[in-house]
Amino acid sequence: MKLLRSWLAPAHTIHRVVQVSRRQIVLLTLLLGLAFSVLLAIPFVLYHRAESDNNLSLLRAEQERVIKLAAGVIHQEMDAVLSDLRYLSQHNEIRNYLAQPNRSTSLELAREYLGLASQKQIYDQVRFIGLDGKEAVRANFNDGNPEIVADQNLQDKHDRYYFEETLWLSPGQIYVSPMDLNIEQGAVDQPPKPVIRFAVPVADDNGLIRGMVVLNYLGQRLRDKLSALEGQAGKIWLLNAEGYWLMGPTPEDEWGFVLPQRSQRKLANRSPRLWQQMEAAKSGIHQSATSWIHFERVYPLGRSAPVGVADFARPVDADRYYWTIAVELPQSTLQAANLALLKKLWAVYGALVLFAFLVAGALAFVINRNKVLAQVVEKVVDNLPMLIAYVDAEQRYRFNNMAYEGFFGLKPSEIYGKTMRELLGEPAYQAAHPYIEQALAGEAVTFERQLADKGPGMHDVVISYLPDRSPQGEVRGFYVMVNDVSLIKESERRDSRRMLELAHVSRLASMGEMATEIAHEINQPLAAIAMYSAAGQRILQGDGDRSQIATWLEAINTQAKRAGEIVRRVRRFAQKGEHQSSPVDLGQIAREVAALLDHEARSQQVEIVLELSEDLPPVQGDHVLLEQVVFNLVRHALDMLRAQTGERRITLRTAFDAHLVYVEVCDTGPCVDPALGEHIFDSFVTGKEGGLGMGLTISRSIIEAHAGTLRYKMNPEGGNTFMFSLAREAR
Amino acid sequence: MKPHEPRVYIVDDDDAVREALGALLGSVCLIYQSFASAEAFLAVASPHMRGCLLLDVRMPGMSGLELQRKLQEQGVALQIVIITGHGDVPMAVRALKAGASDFIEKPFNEQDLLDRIQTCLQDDHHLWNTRQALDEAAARFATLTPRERAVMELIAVGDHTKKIAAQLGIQDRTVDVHRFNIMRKVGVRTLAELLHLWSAAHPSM
Repeated sequence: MKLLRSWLAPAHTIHRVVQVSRRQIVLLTLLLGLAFSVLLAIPFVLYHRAESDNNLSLLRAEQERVIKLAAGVIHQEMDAVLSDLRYLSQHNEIRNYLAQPNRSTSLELAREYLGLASQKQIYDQVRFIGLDGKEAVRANFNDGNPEIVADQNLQDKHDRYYFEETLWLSPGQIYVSPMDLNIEQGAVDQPPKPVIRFAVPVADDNGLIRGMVVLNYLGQRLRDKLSALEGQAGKIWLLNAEGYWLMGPTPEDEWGFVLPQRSQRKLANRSPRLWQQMEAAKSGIHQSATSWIHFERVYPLGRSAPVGVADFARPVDADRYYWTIAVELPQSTLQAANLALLKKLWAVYGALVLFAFLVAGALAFVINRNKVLAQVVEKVVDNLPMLIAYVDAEQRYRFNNMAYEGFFGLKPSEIYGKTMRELLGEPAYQAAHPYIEQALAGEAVTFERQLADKGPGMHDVVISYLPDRSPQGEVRGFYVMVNDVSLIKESERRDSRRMLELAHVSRLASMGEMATEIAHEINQPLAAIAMYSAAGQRILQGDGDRSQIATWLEAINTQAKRAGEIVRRVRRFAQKGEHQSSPVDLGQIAREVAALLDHEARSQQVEIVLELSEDLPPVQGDHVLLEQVVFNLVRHALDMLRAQTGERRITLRTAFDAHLVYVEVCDTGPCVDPALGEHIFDSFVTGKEGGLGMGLTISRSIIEAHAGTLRYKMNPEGGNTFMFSLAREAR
Repeated sequence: MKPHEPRVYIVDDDDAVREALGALLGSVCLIYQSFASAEAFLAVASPHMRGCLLLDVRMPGMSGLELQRKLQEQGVALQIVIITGHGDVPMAVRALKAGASDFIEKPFNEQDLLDRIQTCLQDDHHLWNTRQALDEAAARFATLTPRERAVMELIAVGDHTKKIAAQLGIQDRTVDVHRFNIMRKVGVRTLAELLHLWSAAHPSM
């Protein structure tokens, strides 16, 4: 479940804004489900076809087997009968009878026949018929109650076809009648009793033919045996050479050649095509609208006699005596089998289709969700107010968002495939080239520059290249993100201008506050000059020691320069001037500020100590502004020391490391109110009486504009330290 | 103890100003001595110093006002000219109230400064002369006998001879003799002179 959820929700935040279309999902589900169903149906159809073919061939094989079995049964039965007949033509009792035909021998014979009939149970009648056509000895099976027929009941059969046919035969020949219904006393037995009459001429020891043995074989026995073979393969038919049924589809179809009311019941009438086929071939398969019929012609008497037996009796015309066995399999059986198969297949197929639709539903949901997700992402990417692109390792654009059109005036489709050199133009490309190399080397880079758009406008932009790595770690390209920061830059420039103005105002204010001190300081050299010159004048007017005048003039010169230096320092500090970035020596600034504030410090009995590091590397910045920062910090320290009764000292310290240059202003004054904390840098927050609360704010603004940091901390031994750090000037 | 020679003392932390002052004073043949800080001057200060002190009020370490206070404590009686910067007038006023003679604002006219120094030196001279006379008078009064001193005290409050005699229970004539002796010892000829000298030598009375 967890796995499923994670699979269905790969985007964790954006998927909440994705609204999937229910209608599209339903449509897609139907479409996919149908397609799946059709695809699934193919193996089922193939399987069904193969299986029904298989069924059919199995059934055919079964039919064939049944036919073979049936033929075997027929041959076996006929052989047994013929064997009995041969025996009856030669056994002792018949010989004795023929040698001495009397009551005793005839009784012996009759008992023999009775024994046969009762033992075998396949003969309806066992008879010996004399040449005159009268029955001499007869035993009847009598439907299970065998009896010897009394003399007075013996019949004359001289006109019966089997008698006549047999009369023509020589010893060693056997007559076999067609299978028909027994006729007793000129009428067909009821129920009909199918019989085959087997007859063989019997000769006495002298070789004279004296009569014949006739066996009435009960055809029903054969029919029962064949019926027992019926099963899956279908109904067994037995047809005689004329096409009448000995065993038929129904009992009513049988015996058309015996019963006059059924004379039309023959195969030729019922299925002429099958009949033609049977006449033309000994075996075959016939397919009708209703059934499959497999047939084969059988010669029941057609077994060859054992070799080397001389007086072996054989049936005459064995090669013309034939039946046709047919197995009729109704199509309905086949269809029923197929139907069962189909039912099974449909059940399985139905289940699979249901599953297929479920899968299709899930798939449709995922597809639709991903599509909508992609649309959302695309919309966002296109409408972001920045340029987004993907560039491959050959520096060709492979993707651009719509913002490119607004910037370069080219549709993303037009940019696609162009190189960066082509799109950006040579100068811009050359400027970006080192960064491109870096990105292709696998390093994410961000840089600022100005970029010209399609019009005359220039934009301040922040460009980021984000390398795209293959899973093997090879760089395939990089993503380009170009953010237009013109407005921010403009605002920064405005802020910077305001900061500069404010800084200037603040400097002027500082000057105003310092006016007394400045006047004071400048008065020192002026006073000295005035006195030296006066002294000189007096010497010149009087007669003093003139040798000193030269020294005094030199002193005057020095003091004039000193005054000039003060003026220059003050002017330089207060100037508005051009603010420009140049290498700045913070040590020199420290010295200048110390000089500027020396007089004020003295008058407050404050000692300013310089602890300047030698070889301080320069920083990049504006000299006037950085000097103002140090000035403000020292001045703030002076203010803090006003309330100090103990030691009054300000230490100006510089230091540097591999990256930064540090300036520290430490005082021994009372600590800043801890409640003020970082707010000490806020405008108009002041810890001292009469303070404007601008100096530290401006200082921080200036340092931040120089990409540096200004911090405050309390000295562990008391007093305050303000420290700022700036990056060393790049070499 | 003999007082020092009167001279101009300069206390200023600014080397140039100090040296220029020296040059100026030297050019008018004034004797001067320079000190770079209040502490340095205080180390050598003594009540016997005579002359004028040019003192810069604004200095690191001990300020001019503080030095002025300490000098007074130590009984150093110099004429003090305070040198102030621009806008330090309130401080100068405080210095004057504390007993400074004068103040001058930088940058100053050198003649102005020299005049003030001269004035201070004259004042110093007068002061010292007066102090000497008073000292002598006090010494003479110290030679009076107790009876003469008692008579003198009554004369000083303006009593007549008869009243004094009545108070002391002595003859009028004896009072006159004592007065004669007193005037002789003190070395004055008139009563007015005697009274003036007495009041000068005894300012508390």
